[in-house]
Amino acid sequence: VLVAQIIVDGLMIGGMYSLEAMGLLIIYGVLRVLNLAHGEFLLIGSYLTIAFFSLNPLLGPAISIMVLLLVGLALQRYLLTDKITGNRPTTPLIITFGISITLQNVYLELFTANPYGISTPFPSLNVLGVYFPVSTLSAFLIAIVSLVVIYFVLNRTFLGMAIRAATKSPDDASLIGIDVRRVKTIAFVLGAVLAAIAGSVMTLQYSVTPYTGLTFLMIAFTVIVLGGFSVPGVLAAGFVLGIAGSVWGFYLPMEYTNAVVFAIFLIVIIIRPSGLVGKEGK
Amino acid sequence: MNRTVKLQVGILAAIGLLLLPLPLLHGTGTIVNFLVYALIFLILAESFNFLTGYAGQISLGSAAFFGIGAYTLTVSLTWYKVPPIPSLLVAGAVPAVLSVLVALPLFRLKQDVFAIGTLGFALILQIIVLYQNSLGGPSGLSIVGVAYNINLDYYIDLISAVLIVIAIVLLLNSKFGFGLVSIREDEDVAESLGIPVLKYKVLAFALSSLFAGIAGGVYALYVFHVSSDLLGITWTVNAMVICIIGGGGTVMGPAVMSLIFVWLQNYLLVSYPVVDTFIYAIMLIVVVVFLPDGLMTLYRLTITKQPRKPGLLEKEMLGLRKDERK
Repeated sequence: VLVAQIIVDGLMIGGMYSLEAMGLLIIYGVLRVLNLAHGEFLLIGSYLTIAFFSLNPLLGPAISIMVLLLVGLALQRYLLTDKITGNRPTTPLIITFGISITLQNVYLELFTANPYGISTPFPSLNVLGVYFPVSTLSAFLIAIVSLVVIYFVLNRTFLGMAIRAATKSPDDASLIGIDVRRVKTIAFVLGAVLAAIAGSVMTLQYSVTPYTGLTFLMIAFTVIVLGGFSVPGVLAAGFVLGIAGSVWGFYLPMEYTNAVVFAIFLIVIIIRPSGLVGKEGK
Repeated sequence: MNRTVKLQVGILAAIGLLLLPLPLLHGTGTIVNFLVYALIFLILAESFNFLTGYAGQISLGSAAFFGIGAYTLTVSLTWYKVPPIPSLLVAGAVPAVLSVLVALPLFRLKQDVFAIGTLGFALILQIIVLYQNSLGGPSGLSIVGVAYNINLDYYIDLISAVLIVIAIVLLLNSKFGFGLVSIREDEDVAESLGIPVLKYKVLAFALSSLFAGIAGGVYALYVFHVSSDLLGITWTVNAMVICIIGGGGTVMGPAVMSLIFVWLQNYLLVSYPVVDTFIYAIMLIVVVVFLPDGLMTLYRLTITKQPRKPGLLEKEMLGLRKDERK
């Protein structure tokens, strides 16, 4: 039963990890921009959800989706344009890093460094001796539904096809009449909206501080590397990391989560730079 | 060594010699304190600049190597009673060795992996140091058993800064330096020209960490106390701000900017103690967007009146981009 519990916990967290990584991956894939502010984007969702939770659990996520939609749009239109980022590959990194630090300091001002979480207690379901806390379960379900929707959008719609084409080769995509600039904007907004959902879902499981953003950026990026920079890879890698997480959570104190994630990140890079699913990437 | 290089080295050495007797002439006052602080930032920013401005590899972990340097110096001075100057060398060597270990896996993948990997490295290192009771845990370590002497700090600081900047100038005008710049401009082309890209990148990172470690060591000598904050992201932001706003890829830009920065920080700390990092981050974004070459653009445009010449490759890329936009 203990093993089953660890695996169930891991799977639940894994869904969330995949969702966090998916937003980052879509932006990275299409724009070739590693959004270092992704963790702070998640926190917008988290803080808004926590703030409005007692009013209505869905109000916070709804607002944060709209906020991040606008933020993503503005960023893509005015800061991460080809004209600005074109000259040097380091520019987008510096810009998103700057945004990350800016937001972190805004959170510090507004919410202090204290952890915030949802204080409402949740009941637990007990199935054959394995506990399913309702909070985690709903987080898992929301994550899975969002991931299925994204997977469907990417694989079964014209927009998804355009996004995937622009990921593979922007030049060829524009050659066959795909408006790459628009696809880029849509992808960035999509990534930001996914961040909002992931951030809201996260609050069902964790309490957050302004520094949580960097931790989740690391986790999301580890998932991407583990998944070999591909959509199916990320889905699988999230669960792998989730299970690994619940295993080490048994033996190590919480403070070392970051260190373990980073160790996994390094090991993957050394042993399998192409990620777990290897050639499926490209 | 050609003439301009000789001239630059001569000027740097002369500046160093001129500033050396300052504490004797002027006494130990605000100016000496100001310079000690500014020179620490100067070394740190030049270390960041060497890697990002010249080699084009962005590291978000400067603070890690700065912090390791500071801790190494404190430990070697307090526990092992090594005199300050050998301690300082150790404080540079330890981060350099560590950086090679980190760089070898990180440079195997794309540049973004390196950036986020170094960021992660700094985060983890800070946590490890924070929970390491032998290193003082959250309260940090103080240097004990050594007399505090600000004049000595000043001399060590000034001499290391001058030597490091001279070393950077010489390195940049060597085959290695040209190799680094070509890696920055286009890694694939550099590779095809027979430049050992991986070796050069690792070497550049190691040197940059060495300089950062020395900056940390000097800082520890000046403040006499180290804590895990030194490994925190604030110091990375400081290094970035000075380098990028001053003008990455120039030696003078970060040097001038470190003076402005310390002045600004003294001013900000008095008026707005909490928001300084926030302001720096905003400044960073604004400068990257509007003045990608930093303040050195202004210098180029107003004093030497030469517009920035885009390289051949860059021109081609810009040309392609124009076509794409239609």
